[in-house]
Amino acid sequence: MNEARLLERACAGDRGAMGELYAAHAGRVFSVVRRLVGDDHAAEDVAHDAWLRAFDRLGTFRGDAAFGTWMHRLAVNTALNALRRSGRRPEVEQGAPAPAQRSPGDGAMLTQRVLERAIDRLPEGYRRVLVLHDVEGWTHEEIAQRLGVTVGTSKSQLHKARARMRDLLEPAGRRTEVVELETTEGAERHV
Amino acid sequence: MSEHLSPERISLLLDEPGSVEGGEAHLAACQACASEYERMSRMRMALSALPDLDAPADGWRRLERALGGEEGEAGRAAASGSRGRPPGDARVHRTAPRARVLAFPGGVRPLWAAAVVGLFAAGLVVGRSLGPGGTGAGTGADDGPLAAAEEPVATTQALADAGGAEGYLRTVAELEALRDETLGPGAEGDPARMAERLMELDALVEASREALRQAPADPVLNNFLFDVVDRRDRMAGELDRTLRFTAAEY
Repeated sequence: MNEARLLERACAGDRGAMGELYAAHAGRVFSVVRRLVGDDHAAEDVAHDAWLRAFDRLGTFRGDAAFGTWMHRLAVNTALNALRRSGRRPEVEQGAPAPAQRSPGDGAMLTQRVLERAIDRLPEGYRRVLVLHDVEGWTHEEIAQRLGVTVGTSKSQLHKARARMRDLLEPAGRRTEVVELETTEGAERHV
Repeated sequence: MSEHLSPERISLLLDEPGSVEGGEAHLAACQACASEYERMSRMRMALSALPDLDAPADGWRRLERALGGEEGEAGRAAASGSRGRPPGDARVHRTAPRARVLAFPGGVRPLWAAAVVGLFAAGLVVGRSLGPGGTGAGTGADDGPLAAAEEPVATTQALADAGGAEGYLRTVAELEALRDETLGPGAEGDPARMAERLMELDALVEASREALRQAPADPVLNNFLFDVVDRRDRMAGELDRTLRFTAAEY
């Protein structure tokens, strides 16, 4: 059955159609939520809420985009709202203290498990931007608009997040002195 | 004293070449920073290629309860679908069953080195060609591609039978475990074991190259190749140093 027909049936309250939509998109939804919130149990609740909202609002889905795209946006919004409500300090500019443990060692394979663990250990502010940009493929403009920050802040957070990821994946022992070279685009880019 | 670009600058250079004054020139002159640039590039690529996690196994049932009403056929399918796993397993579903790897008969190591070429080239490409949304039947999955690896000829069919993205992920996990075993404990200072592991890494390098010829843009294969080449080179260096040390002793 094509998706338009499924949506039509789901809108009419057909539980089977809802189940099919869920089966088709549950992994994708859970993935983005899990990576944003950084915790299994919280992610289950947030994904659950996102799906409830989706089925509740299915009538407002106009079909301008694919259902998966709409659902994905809804899941991201639900996750970001949950993070905001949770009251955790986002550590936007300064970042969190370095983690006590580092893993894995030098030359480690960038397996999914290794990357997921490193993402989990990022400060929340870094994690949001890294997940949205590098994993989900959002632009800085989209991120800035959604998070209510400037494009420069989004870029700055991303670069710091990647630096922290590299440090988590492979401790930086090679640097004896870091030279801050001047950039050609001013200070906003390098907060 | 050496001077290096900060990781943030390297990240900026990755996204916006030319944005750091003197950045490219520095990368051309500094091997450490060029290497860090390459690694960050690989990390960025790997992040963009992260596969989906498995949704909680009881996600649909919980949702149905919240929605109220009877469970439909599709609902039951969603609840029992192959993607559903216990929540705690969501982060580790690609982890290979280590015990099975370790139980691999030691006497067939040379066979394994040859078999893994076919396994890697066939299995990953078979799985990949079905795409991340592939839905294999999963039959015979418990036997796994590793068991089939003893017989290279049977491997392709076994993987095709195992089928789809699940088979692909399982194959990757198995091979990662095999690769990790090549650097595991027990080889240090033993030139014979090190040479054996070097041969295995060579086989993995050749296998991943062969697979890449069939799927050049596959980010998982690219990452795997980078990694096993790096590990093989390090193992070769360690073996070389060990042999020199051993020769000097006598």
